[in-house]
Amino acid sequence: MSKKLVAVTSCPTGIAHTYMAAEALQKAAAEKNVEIKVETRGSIGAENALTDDDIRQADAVIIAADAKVDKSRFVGKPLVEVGVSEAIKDAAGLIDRALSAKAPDLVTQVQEIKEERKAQATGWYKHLMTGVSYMIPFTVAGGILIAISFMFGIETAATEGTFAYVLNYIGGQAGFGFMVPILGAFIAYSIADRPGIAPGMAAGFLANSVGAGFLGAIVGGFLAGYLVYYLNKWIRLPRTLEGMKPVLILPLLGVGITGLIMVYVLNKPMAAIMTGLQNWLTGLSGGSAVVLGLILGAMMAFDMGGPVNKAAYAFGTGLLASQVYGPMAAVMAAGMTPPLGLFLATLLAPKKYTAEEREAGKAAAVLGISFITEGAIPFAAADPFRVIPSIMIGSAVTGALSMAFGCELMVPHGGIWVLPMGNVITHLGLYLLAILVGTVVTAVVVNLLKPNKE
Amino acid sequence: MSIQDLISPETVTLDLKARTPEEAMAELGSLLVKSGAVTDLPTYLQAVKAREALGTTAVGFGVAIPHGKSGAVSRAAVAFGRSRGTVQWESLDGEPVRMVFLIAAPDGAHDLHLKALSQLARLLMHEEVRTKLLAAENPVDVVNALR
Repeated sequence: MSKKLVAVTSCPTGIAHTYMAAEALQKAAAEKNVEIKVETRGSIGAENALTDDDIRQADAVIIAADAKVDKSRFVGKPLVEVGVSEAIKDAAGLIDRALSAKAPDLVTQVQEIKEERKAQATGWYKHLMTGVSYMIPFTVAGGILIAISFMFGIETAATEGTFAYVLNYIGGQAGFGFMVPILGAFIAYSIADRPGIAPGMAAGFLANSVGAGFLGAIVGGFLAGYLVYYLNKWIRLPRTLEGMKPVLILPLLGVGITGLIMVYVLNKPMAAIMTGLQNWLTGLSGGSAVVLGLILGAMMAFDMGGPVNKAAYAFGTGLLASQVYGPMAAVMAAGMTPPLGLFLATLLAPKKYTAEEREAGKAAAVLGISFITEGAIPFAAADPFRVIPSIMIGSAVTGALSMAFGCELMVPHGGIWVLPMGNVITHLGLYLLAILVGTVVTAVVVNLLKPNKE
Repeated sequence: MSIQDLISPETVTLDLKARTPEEAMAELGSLLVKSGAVTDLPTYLQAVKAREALGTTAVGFGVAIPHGKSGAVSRAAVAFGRSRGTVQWESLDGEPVRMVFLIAAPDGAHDLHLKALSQLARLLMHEEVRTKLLAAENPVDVVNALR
């Protein structure tokens, strides 16, 4: 059977090079007796577009482009990427390189997917994610320090003057205490750049002071960000006074106006919503806890690190600032099972997976125990309609069990590696059981759905 | 629409005087002005040079295909020039440039024009076509070589 390649060519104006490169590749492929399909992305638009089937059957992918080409549809394929002129100059050499290229290992792929997603994020989602990502270090440090302080006994940790108390104080005040202000600060930073930081942080601080928690900080951060963004745009000063804008005018108006709106308008309703949410969550038991776990779990698996996953994650993490730890536990457990379940699936039914997928399974296992849900993406990209429902079911089961068992987690990340650290998790045994059950469910469901490879 | 509709004997010269890319663009550009395809030469050449700045269009095999999309183009057209010497053009394969295709596309060009241009680009990758172009004795031969 002859080898099969797919290629994409593209150039800045899309009039000449795109097509010359395509022709060169087709000519060289014919001489080598290699099958090739070339998608041209020129000014006419995409012609001869590659279908999912084309890509699945291809042994390798060539991208010869000076314009940006979305690589997500080629996940897991051996891929060579060059400038468009390279294909015109030496199409034969390029084909040889593609045929000898190796598929990237799973970890590299996952890295690339994460980078690409980050670059693609736009608008409110990007702002929120920027805020959350700056908040995480405070949450991690705070959560672990508090957990360690509890290893000395809850009583000791509460007794002033003890070492445990100091740890608890650092974790609680210097760690968790900054979560909400930092969240507000960097949402605003994402919107308005540097001038956004002070007003955003002020909004978060004020929200925190009345118990409006992460919801208050999100609303306040967006308010501060857009306020300063437009102040910066609208306020025009004479050249000689322009220097006063960043050091005097924007901070004063930004913090002042944002602060007043927070105190007189937003704080009360946001605090009421937050308190209501807190009470509802802490009072959750039985059926409703299970339902929340199911939903959060399914969300974690739905897009594996995408916006829906991150929404569930931000919810769990944000609640840590309000001392609500149950959803965080469900979220992390559910985020671990997709790669873990797929790993187990490749072990249970090796016939249903290609050699590369079995190899990728091992890497997925490591990503899974480290709470990197994206580890499941290469499997999902290859077979979305079977894989995504399976991992959603598994994650929903895990999320529900974690909630039902009353597991509480004080850190927002780290997977299995943070669990041995004393009291970061309550009911450690049951928590591991929840993860294990979801992993098995995922593996069994996906293997039931998947046909044997011939 | 086919390549034949883009190029005519009057936009072909077998005695390209230019020694540099800029001269070649201007020399062939004036042919396109004469044929009525380009209405405002400086504006059009600006687009061509902007494209050239993104990366050389001397694609190797002695061929360069400078091109530009501009409002100063009234209809898609191609001019061809063959030099008795060579044009100093930084090419992908380091070979000196002997043949230049100057391509003009109007803003928001109709797909048919662009399709014809893409066919021309594909043709040039074939050695038989280039040999015919090098052997052409008159402008009509050039147009026929692109059939």
